[in-house]
Amino acid sequence: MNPVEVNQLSKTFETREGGLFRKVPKKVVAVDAIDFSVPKGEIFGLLGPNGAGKTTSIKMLCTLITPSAGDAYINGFSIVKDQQKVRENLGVMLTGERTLYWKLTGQENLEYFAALYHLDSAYAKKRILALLDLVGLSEREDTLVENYSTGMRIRLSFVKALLNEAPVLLFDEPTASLDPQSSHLIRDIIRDLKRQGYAILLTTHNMEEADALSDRVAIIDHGKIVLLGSPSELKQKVKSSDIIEIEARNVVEQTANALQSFSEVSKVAITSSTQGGETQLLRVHVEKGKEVLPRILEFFVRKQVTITKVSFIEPTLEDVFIAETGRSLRD
Amino acid sequence: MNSRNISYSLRLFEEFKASFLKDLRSYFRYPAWVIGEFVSTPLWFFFFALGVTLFAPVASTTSNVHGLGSGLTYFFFGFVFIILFSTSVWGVGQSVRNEQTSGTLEQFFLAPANRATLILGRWARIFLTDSLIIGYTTLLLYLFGGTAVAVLNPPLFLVSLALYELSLIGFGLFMAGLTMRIKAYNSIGNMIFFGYMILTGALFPIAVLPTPVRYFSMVIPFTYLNDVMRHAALGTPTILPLTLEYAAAAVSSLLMMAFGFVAFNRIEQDARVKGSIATS
Amino acid sequence: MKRDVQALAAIFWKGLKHHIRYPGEFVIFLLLPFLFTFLILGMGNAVGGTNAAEYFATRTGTTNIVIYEILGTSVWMTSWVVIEDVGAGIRDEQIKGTLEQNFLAPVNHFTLLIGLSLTDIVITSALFLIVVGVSVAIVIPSNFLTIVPAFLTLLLGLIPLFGMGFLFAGFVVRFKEPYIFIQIVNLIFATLTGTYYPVTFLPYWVQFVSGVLPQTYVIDDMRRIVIANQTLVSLYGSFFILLTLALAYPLVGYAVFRKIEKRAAVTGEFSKY
Repeated sequence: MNPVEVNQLSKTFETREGGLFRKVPKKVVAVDAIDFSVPKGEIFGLLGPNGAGKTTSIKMLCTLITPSAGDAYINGFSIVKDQQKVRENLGVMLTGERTLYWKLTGQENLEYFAALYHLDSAYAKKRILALLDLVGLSEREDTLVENYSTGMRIRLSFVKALLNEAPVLLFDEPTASLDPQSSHLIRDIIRDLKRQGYAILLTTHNMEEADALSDRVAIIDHGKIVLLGSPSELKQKVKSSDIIEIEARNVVEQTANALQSFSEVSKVAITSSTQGGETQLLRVHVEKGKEVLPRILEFFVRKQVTITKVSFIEPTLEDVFIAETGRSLRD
Repeated sequence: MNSRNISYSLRLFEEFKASFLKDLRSYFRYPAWVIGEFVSTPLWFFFFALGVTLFAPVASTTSNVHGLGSGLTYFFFGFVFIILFSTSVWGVGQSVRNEQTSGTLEQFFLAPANRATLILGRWARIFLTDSLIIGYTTLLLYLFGGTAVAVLNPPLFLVSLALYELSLIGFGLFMAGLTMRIKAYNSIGNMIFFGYMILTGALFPIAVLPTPVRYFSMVIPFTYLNDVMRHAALGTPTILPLTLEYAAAAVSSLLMMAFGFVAFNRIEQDARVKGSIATS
Repeated sequence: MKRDVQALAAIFWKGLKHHIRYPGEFVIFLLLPFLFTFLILGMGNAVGGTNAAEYFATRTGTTNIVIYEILGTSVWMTSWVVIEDVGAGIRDEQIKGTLEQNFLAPVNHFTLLIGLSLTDIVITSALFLIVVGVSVAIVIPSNFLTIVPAFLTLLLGLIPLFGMGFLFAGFVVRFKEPYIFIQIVNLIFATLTGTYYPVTFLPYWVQFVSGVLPQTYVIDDMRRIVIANQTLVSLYGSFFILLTLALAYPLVGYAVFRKIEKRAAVTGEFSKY
């Protein structure tokens, strides 16, 4: 059995919405029968837009949320029946900097959690010093966390997950809010952990990170896994199309969608825009791109769209998602 | 079992110790709260004592309380009970809410630690700091009120205190679970707190209450817990025959402990189903 | 001016929506004056026995214990809400991380301070009317209409309380932990302003301090109006003092707040959790 085995895992939340006196029950399917496994020494990425079900999936695996259906096994222990054993076999980093005690120092925080993970105190001391050194916090070990920068808190949160040397590691957006240097450090550590044989599951918004780090990626949308495979396998699916990236001003959703009237255009998505929505970046999946491009540009000119940059690019995971769903990962 | 893990027998103790130390350190790193608690506790006592003197016989400002002994020491023990009870409602009970708001509750629940140790660690810290505050207030009462507070029967008092603390832990566990369930915890906490003050003989004998209300008081376990502690401290007569009352106090303490653990567990499981452990 | 009023309205509605989602807070405010009164009555009866009311009347001039205590407690609660909300509203926003967002907006900080607490104060005042109205209607129904001039007295008393709130808001920005500090201050106010007993009960030098607190006049005047049926006109002396306090406290309080705020902008206090 692989260190992580997920079988038909589902979660439906029941809420009540409405005014003060008339609340209507509502069911929200957050995760819908997902299946995957993570062997030893693999980094498995879970990628998807906001609200896709990534965090709910992670929280089920680390027993913070009880599944509605299905099960998963962490190092052979069921997340439904053997929750205590699952926790012993997991190292988890949840997103956000508010996961530490701000009135404790970095070292005191790790000592506290080490005790909760039943580490012997003498061993824990050595382990903590090594981990703080690993992420460049050894000189700030006696500083209260409230005086740490955001990056320092995230790095401390990251090494907290490594305290108990659990065989399975879950990282929820491990490099969010980190500067490039710190992100680079964290990614190197994750690669090193993979080489040491840990099974690693990570969620990220950052496609480049998922592409660079993950051995396999599952793209999750509306609670379902829509695509699963290695980054190169997934990108092969869109290799047959050309991908044109167009940077333009004043493009509205309807204009972008109208591009799909071209028979050669299979998918269009606005992938990002600047603050104020003045400049947008579009990705157009198209057959015979070089032949179609002049007509596309003419179309935009007729629609009074100002184009500032056009390039043909290699497909990314974003394009894989667009090809599958017709939407950008950032939607 | 490898040398990097604590042996099974020591795990609970180490979890408890870590939780206690974490709470103690955090508490003393908020000096405003420390000073505030030491200042406000005697102030509450003084404020109510002054208000009550309006009702005392004109010839004196203090009196026997319903024939039960000196007003000041009677009320002083009432305030001791209130301080102890607030441990359950505000100290222990709100500890879970505080952890939820600060984002650390999920981190605790991720670990293979016993849930009760989070609560027990907080309880132990509050017990320590409350003891200091009560000692300090006793000193103030002696210096400024000319009243020396003494306990008539120390061993019995300690037994009563132990039963009281067991009940507080159990009730605190229940309240801690409640904070995961109910967002408007403050309102409910206030209601329970006032209910305790008015109905359980903490500040005045239940004999003062109207008869129907008195019967209701007699089914509240804390009524007997307050009564036996006051009896041990001041020698006041008990509501029921002494042995029966101690038996009632002991049984209710154990039941509250059990109830607290069960309730907390059930509420935690429910929070997992709803995904609301992190919700603040 | 119009933009500030707009901003005030926006902040008010934001606060109101929050309260509608947490109606429990209304219930507790409705009940607290009664609960505090029951407590003191219980303790008083324990001490005074069957003659408790007589002893009380000798010292206060009235046997109307319930209204006497409910008026004191209600003013105390209202005063607590005003001071805490104005003073600690900033801290709440700081903890939520929205303070900087509020201060980034082109809104007068005076407006912001008032706005952050306005909803609570409006709601608290309305609840005060309900509590006192119900109590008077039950205990001395013949004096029911006196709650109108009594409420006007409270409204006048709120102005200096706002000023006190600004003062505490400044301390909160600097020292970060408002609630325990405000609790102590409110306890001291309760002790000094005659919440449960007449101020004349206190030593002379303490009464001098009571004399600069607006709650002292509000509580005493309300008791005179509701219990003793005195008119507003007959209380012109204390009204004049209240008016003076209504001018002085907001000016001083806001000046102190601005000074501390300017310093905080230099030291970066607003961002500090």
